[in-house]
Amino acid sequence: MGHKVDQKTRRLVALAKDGDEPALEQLCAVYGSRVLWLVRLRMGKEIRSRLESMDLVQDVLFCALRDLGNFTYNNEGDFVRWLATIAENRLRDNLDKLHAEKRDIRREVRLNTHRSTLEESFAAALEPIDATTPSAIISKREEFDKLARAIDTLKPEYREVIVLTKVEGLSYKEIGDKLGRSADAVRMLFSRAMAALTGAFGVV
Amino acid sequence: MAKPNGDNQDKSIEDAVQQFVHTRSHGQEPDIDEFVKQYPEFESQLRQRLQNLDKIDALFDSLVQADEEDFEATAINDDLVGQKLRDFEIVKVIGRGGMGVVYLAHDTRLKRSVAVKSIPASLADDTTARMRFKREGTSL
Repeated sequence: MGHKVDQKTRRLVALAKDGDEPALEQLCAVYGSRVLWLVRLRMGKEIRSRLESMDLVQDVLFCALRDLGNFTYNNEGDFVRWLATIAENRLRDNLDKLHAEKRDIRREVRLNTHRSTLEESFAAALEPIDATTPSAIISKREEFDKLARAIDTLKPEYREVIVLTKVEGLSYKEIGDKLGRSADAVRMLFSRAMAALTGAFGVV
Repeated sequence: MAKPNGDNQDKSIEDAVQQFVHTRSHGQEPDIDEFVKQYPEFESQLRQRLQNLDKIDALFDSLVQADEEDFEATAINDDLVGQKLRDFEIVKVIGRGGMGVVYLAHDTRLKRSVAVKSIPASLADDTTARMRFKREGTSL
């Protein structure tokens, strides 16, 4: 299955790079919500809670897809992570600007106390443009929301090892090198983190 | 008196799940039924946690691996261009939306240009989509 998807995406990426609008649209449709969820899982909840509107995320994704420039498609995981990184960088730029321009304490308090509303607006941004568009990833929206909420409750160390393993696709050895630990220690940490996640999933 | 309390049981469930994940991380696939039987005192809770684990794994997998269904559902269908549907000769695509593709067509009988909208095959069996499509048609 993966191989066929690779070929399809490779073709669409090539077309989109040549300015083919329909190809770009289809890439957005297939990868849009996937990239948004990746960004959602990667970003710490502190930074996320400052996002007032997720329209921004949507804009950012379109920019990322238009920025295919010298990108070469190697495999599915790399492609979606690459898109998520561009989207995330643009988001951070926007947030920095936001901080510099509007340093208003009251507003921040309001944002923090309306966490659930923010979550809802995030969820709304992940809705398909047309609700009848069937998509495997979109139909899992509620499940992803549960996952994101559960991950938010974990301690930072657990969160990090889960994101590095499951989202970034790194090996225990690679993570160990990054964190200055042995691969075995990372594996233990990952097992504890996942066990904690299975307990939080569906509860929060 | 050292009696097993709730906290201790939580800790044991946690340890069991952790052990399961750890085994899996070595590429082994322990049988869930066999595994939970080793812990009769909290078999059902443990089973629930392992089901969550599978759900979580599947969710992560679907994030980094596109599903073929996604492509089919969003497929761009230019197949009709150049074809003849009854009296309509399909000329070109003039618009696309979540609900399908709009073509410019020539009505050979009435000698005029018309717009023809097609909905994706994946929606053809969807009653709501059919109803919307019909409503859109009658409102024009």
